[in-house]
Amino acid sequence: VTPRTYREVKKPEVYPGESVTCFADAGADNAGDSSCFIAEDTRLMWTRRRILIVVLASSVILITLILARRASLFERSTEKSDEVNARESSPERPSGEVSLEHVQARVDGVRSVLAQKSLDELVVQLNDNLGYMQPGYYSPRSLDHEDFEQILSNRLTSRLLDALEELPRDQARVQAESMCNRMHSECKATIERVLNYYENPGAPENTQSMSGNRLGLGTAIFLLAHFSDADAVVRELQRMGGYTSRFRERVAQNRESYPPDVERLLPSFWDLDVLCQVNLIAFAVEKNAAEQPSRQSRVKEVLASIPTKTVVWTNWNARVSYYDIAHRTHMRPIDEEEGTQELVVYEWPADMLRKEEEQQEILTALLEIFEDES
Amino acid sequence: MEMAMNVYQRAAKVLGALAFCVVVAAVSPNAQARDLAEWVKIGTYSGEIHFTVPDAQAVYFGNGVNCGNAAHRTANGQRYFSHGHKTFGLPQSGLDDNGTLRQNGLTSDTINAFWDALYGISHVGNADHTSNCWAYALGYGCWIQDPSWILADDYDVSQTVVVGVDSMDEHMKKITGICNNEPNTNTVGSTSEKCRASAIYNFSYYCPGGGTHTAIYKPK
Repeated sequence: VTPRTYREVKKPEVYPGESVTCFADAGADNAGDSSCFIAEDTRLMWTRRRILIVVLASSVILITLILARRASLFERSTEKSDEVNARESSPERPSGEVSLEHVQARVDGVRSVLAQKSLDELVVQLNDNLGYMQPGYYSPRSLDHEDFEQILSNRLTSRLLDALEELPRDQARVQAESMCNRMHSECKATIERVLNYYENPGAPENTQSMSGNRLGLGTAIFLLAHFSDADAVVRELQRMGGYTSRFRERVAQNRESYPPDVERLLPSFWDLDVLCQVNLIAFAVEKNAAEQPSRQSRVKEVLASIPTKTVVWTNWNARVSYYDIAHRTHMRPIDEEEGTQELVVYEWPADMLRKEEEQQEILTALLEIFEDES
Repeated sequence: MEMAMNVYQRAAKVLGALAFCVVVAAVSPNAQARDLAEWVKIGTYSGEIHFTVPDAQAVYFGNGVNCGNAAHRTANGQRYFSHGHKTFGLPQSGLDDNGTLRQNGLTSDTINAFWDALYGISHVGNADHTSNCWAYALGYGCWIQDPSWILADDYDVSQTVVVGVDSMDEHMKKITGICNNEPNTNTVGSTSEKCRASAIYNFSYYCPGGGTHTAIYKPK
């Protein structure tokens, strides 16, 4: 038997654009010979192989991804509490059960940041509006005054108080005064930028939150109330009222520069609301009741008709705070292990909610106590 | 004849003055307007939008004041409770925290975006600025300002779960299910709520275990 021999031929006309090697019988004339079937079969085989390789590769990638995902889930689940693990492994777990991870992760992120910052770095955060919104306090009442509880809801407030309490009282007072000065400056600079934007075409738009400034100032005054007397608190509030009045006058004098409603709405961002001012004064007076008992009794008399509620104010490092959205929406008990402080908070009665004049009269009556004594 | 002319002239002047007053009242942004605020998320901005509506579109009634809608009374005591009627439509334009005018910035979508981010889950239905958490939980289509009369007249503090109030005492949610597979049968199994002008958010809890609570009110 004569062994069959092969030679290589090129078949560019069969596979245009490709340099394909075709094996033909040694005796065949040219590349177009039908004996080149081997090459065609080979190409078909390679096409199948390619498909097979792609399918196999895709499968490997898919399996890798699934394994990676499972590994990731496993890692996350090991970080959860035993209780959550027990729930998730239970076949009875309802399909719509809410995950607390989103909320708790946000809270833990805030705790971690606050724990690492120095006093100076914390002070810079005073007018960051986000801290007052998350967890935040959202009253169901319309036209309600929320500033005081928004201040309490910010974990930064409790963290700053902790930091100041580590200092000697005099130093803490100086620090709190410095925070007030800083926030007054921020408030004024921001309002100035906003007014310039409307009054001078082409002026840059303001990007600092006016609410953040206002609440930052309220926080600073609240801290000051812990280390100074109530007179200092009243002075800071009057200082605020002084420049916001001047800005109001300026807006009124340049009315034509402002779109409709802007003139009216702008000042609503500037002053701490009346209820917050009442609470700040009442808190400061109560803190100093031992030194000035007569003032305390006069203040109580003015506020006799205003209802109060007791807030169990949790420490900044509490896993679940009084104001946490996690607590509010998922009914988790608040974490009292880091310490709590009971705060008495005044609230307008339902029939006073619309009566701005009556609210202002209460504040004026409080301020008169201080005027009488000075 | 001259006297008749004077009468006509006077009447014309009076009518003219009246028309002027009406026009001034209609175009003046400060006339009979009410300032309101709601929470929105627009792009990277999260915060309040302050806006103004005609006074007649956001009317508030104190406890004991007849609002003209008999449905806004307590079921048992027939007492009108403190609430508001918000009849303005969306969108509304207003000012944000930075002093920027947001044209049509208050919409269902921007309200939903804010509360979705805060709650961490998706809403059900549409944002509803005409009722708050109290109204939704207690079943009234208005903005309740003070639920104390409703709770006093129509509810008892109870361990049987129907309507729950969380320990913040101001926020209220419907309790839509209870865990009945453990000794403590009043543990919350599922809830439904809204916050201010938000849409509805539904939560369910694993049973046994469930959601803890501090105050449960049962209809009388």
